[in-house]
Amino acid sequence: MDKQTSNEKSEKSRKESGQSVQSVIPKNRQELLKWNGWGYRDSQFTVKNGLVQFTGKRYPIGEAVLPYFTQWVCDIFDVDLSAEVKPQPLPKEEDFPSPVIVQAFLAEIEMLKIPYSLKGIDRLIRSHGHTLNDIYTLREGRYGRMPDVVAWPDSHETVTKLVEIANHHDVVVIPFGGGTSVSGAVTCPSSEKRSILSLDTSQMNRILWVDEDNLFACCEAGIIGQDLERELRERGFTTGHEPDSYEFSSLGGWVATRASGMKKNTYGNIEDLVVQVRMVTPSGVLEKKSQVPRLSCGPDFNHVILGSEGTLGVITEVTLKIRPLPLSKKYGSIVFPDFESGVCCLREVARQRCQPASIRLMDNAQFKFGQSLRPSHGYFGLLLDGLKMAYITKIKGFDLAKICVTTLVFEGDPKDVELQEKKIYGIASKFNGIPAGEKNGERGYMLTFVIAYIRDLGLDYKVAAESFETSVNWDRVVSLCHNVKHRISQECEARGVKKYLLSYRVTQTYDVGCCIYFYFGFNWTGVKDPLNTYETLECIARDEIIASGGSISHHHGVGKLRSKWYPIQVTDLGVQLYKATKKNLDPNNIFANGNFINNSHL
Amino acid sequence: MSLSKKNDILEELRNMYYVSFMSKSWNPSLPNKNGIKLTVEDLIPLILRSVRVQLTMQKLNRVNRLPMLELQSSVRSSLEDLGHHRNMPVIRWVGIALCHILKKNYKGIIVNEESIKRVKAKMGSNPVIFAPSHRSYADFILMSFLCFYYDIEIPVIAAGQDFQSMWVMGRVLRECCAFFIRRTFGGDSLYKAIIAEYVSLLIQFSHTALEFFIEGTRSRSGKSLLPKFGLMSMALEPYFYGKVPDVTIVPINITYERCLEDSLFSRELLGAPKPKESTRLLLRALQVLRENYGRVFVEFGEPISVKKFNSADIQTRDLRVDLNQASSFYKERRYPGPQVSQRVKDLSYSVIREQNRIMTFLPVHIMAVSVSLWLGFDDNVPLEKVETDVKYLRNILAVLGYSVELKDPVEKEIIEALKMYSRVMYLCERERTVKLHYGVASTSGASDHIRSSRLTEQTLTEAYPIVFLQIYANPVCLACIHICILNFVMCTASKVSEYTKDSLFKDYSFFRTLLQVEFVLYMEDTNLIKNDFVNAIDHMCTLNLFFTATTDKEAIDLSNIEALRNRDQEALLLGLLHPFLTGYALILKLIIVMTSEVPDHSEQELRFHLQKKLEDEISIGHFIPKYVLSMDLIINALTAYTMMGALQKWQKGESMMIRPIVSVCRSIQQDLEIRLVRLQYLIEACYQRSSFDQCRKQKFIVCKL
Repeated sequence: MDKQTSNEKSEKSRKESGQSVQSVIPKNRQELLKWNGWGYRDSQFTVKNGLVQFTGKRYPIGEAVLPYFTQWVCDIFDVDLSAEVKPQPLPKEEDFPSPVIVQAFLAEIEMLKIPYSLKGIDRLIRSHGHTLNDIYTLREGRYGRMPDVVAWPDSHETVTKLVEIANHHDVVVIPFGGGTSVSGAVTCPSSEKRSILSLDTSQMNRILWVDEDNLFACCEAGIIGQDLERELRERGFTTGHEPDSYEFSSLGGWVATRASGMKKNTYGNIEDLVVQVRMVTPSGVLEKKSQVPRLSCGPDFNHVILGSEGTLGVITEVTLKIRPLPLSKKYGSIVFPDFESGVCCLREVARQRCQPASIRLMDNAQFKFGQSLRPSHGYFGLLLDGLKMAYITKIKGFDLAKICVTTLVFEGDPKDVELQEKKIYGIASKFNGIPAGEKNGERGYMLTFVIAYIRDLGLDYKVAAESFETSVNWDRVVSLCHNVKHRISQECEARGVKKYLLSYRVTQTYDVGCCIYFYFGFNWTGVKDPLNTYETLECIARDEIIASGGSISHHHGVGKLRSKWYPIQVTDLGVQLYKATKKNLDPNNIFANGNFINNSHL
Repeated sequence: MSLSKKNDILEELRNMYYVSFMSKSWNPSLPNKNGIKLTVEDLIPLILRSVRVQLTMQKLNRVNRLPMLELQSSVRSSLEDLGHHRNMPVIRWVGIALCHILKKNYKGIIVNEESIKRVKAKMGSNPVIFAPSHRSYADFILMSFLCFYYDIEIPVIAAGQDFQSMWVMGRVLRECCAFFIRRTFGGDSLYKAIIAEYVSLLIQFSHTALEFFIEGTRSRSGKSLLPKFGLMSMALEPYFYGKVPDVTIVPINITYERCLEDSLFSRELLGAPKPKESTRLLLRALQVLRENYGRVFVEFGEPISVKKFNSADIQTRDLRVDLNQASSFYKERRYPGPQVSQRVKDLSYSVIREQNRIMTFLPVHIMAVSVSLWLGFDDNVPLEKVETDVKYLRNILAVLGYSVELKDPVEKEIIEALKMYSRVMYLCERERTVKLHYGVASTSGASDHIRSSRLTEQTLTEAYPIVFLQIYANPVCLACIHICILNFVMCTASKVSEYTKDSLFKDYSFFRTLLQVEFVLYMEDTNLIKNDFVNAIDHMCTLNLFFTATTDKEAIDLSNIEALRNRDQEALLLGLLHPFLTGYALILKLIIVMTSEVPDHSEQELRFHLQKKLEDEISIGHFIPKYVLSMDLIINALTAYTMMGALQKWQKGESMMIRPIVSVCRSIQQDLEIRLVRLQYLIEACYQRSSFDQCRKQKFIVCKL
């Protein structure tokens, strides 16, 4: 009894001490964000007078006309920029399917004073992530099963109660964070007959405390990446965790999918950053009772939570490492004569373990794409301009059709950065790499955030596109890329897909291998079922990746999109172990989003 | 082949100076554009560093206490010894010499350009294997010459090690992109690792094709040999480990109107040992090259994509996945493993099938069938009979979809062919009959060589031309094997009309099993066997043999059987199997007899024993084809019987011992012998009916009139 009250007390004091954060993203997400596309409503690629431009002022290429990019799009995909495919409008409230409601459950929610909504639009925008399937369906298709109720709990305690009553009333709970999933993880299983609650974590986004002595901070799981960074920055800290989606994705989502940040070389991936994490399950709260740096105490159950993809419970609070802000940050880039040399260089850098905060290698297609994404008006330092291009092609003898570029981010003490730069450029020169300036590097990273907007432009003009990634050992990097490219070209040909692009880049490097990120898109003119064709092709690409020694995923997770390959990756015994865990933590299967293993097989 | 544009290269070469041809500027298209030029110098450091070779060296170092440095230098020196180079000047000079020889001795080199164009269009994005049929030394020289001619980068050739020891030639071949490997690796793990790595690296990184002979050695008998899997499985390793996206295998058929080595092969088939390759022999062979060797036909087959081949059956899992999920793939020796081995096997048989499908049949092949059949009964065959037979067979081959180079008037072509083979057969102008030159050899070396056979002079004299002819007849047997078996089964059944599709299939399968080694008939793919069977029945419907076409897929229509019987055609098809089935039956009989005295024999000893006993049988027996003396046939029969469980093999010291399982032998013997009696009867009846003497007389009368 005594213990309980003290616990309650500490919870209460935590709650009060927590600093509430004004999020960039409002509770009504659709006010700021597109309901059927990526990112901010005011930022998008549009076509005006036959030229592509980017709207809004949020990104450096904002409000600029992009003639080179227009040309590139036409060359690669042969699109007709005068024939826009307009997406279907937002349905009227009465057109949404009526929700499956458990009255007693709603009554209890009301009693607990948890805000909730039964509105169609609220349910719709929490019924999907950002796979091609999700977005294509929003634009063109018939919506499938969507959540019946959306609730916004505001703390660990509320979540605990919510899960308890949901379990009691056999209501399915699907946690929803930033909604940037690309694995179909938040999609409602179409066969689910029970009432589905979308548990939106966005309102539980406080920074509960910051411990400057030990350099960690405890945050509620709903906090959005950019909010977290902004707040910490004000105090002179950073988590250093910057996944490409960090403007919109949530801390809980990162943990639930085992996210990876761009600067993991300096700061680590999410599993390296997490010190402690709480997950509310129908059987209780799973957490490690300690914040010590390391434990030798049996299997680490944090790893049951990391990557659980909302199938075992809701992640409510995360204690994660923070770092003092670096004194300086510098970009850089290196041009290589071909992809193979670039890979060799990255491999050598990894061998010497001297990676800067970020080091990425883009293939020729992405290199060209990057070059095209520039406004017509004065842009300096461009690689292909004037003398530099002459130097690279004429004197160095690089072939423009093979050239690749590595982009770099250095962080730290100015002196350290200088040393690091020297070392990296030294290694690069052994593999015929030529430094190509800071500007190119900076552009590379800036584009990372913009690239995500391109898919919507593609869909406007009959181009289906998507990205997928894998993790692979060093000796197989080149052959894997090559195999996937070869296979895709054959399969496209077999399906009458004439204009397509498959491009890849190495985005993370490790001791034993690296992460490869693919972009694939094609013009679907003349193709019968574009969505199905795309999905078949991606599935074939994944088969090829796995056959070439790659993994099912590096940081996107499994979800439903890749559950087909889950058993071969973890073995049958692994599947059994997962099922046993699931049975124990969630005996009624209310966290029934069906990731990893189809519900009917549980 | 609907698309075929036959082009005579020699015709074009005759119209230009070959020096200027060979010195033309040359920008070959690359079979694998993602690869680079690789020669042994590039490969040595890679091989030395490779995990495979490193691990093997470490093991030898640990177990046999061989110092690492010594091992390394031995790897290096053996690579320097066997590796390939690419020396353009040498290639050009060899080309000039070759132009000269070809122009002098050959009437034409006829290439289906469409087939090459098709292959060229499909090459470029992944590694390529050229898999030519192997009937002659000339094969790989010709292949490289063709590649030069058609602007394809010269392939790297895996050649048998025996060529290496040839003075100068070994070196020259190596400069022309050949590397040498031993025929067997024995227990030499390091050597095996080196070769495996060599081949694997070539497939992964070389921009040119890898060429090797899937049969492993030249076929002496004119028909395909059972495929060898070792090199193929090494070459496909990078594919199965996901290192290359795909491998394209191009089956190629090279058909010689007259094979350079035909007389040598005839002697070897009769039991003379294989002479050691030497430059002296080569030079002698070049001297032999004063004769007319007719034409050479080259056809490139439908390229096989290994990836597609492996994913044809959607049910089976991608084997590459299992291999790539292995935690340590070199150490665990998971490759090739039973499943990959099976695929490699399937694939290798497909390659051989394709090589045969695209073969070009020439007058000599077809007439050899007729001549060697009837010369078993008589000492001469009327030209007219040969002509009818040739027409029959031409029709059969055409129905089966083969390309036949035989124009009308047939008689003229037969006479042309006879001229080319004047050493073994000739046309007796007066009688208008075909006769054989008995006797063995034209040169003293050859007669010395054949005397090393254990057969008597008398037998050799008689058998030599028959065996020689059979080498040319054999491809026809191979081409018609399925309908031959069905025809045989039908002709020799006690009650033909009682056959159902199932019982017929059972008998077909039995003889297919018996002849699986002789005619490279794959037994491990049940769908394939079914297909072959169904196709054979279709073909026989078309040929009006026994069957009438029926729409019921599960049944056969034998209602018109009597009307459809064509005894002459049947006899001819029976004749194709005659030497083989007779030989097989005799061998079985002899083994049972021999082993009732001494149960175990070493395989080596048994072969010669059998040959000797067969010789005895011939001297007392009736109409036993002399081809049964062929060592090839004897070895094939022993292998087939072992596969069927009639013989048991085991290792005893150095040698392989053989013991029959008498019960199995007897049951096979029963099935075989009753049918064989009928077969002989039917052929003889045909012979009597066409009564050669009468034929001759008639002709004589016609001439007189």
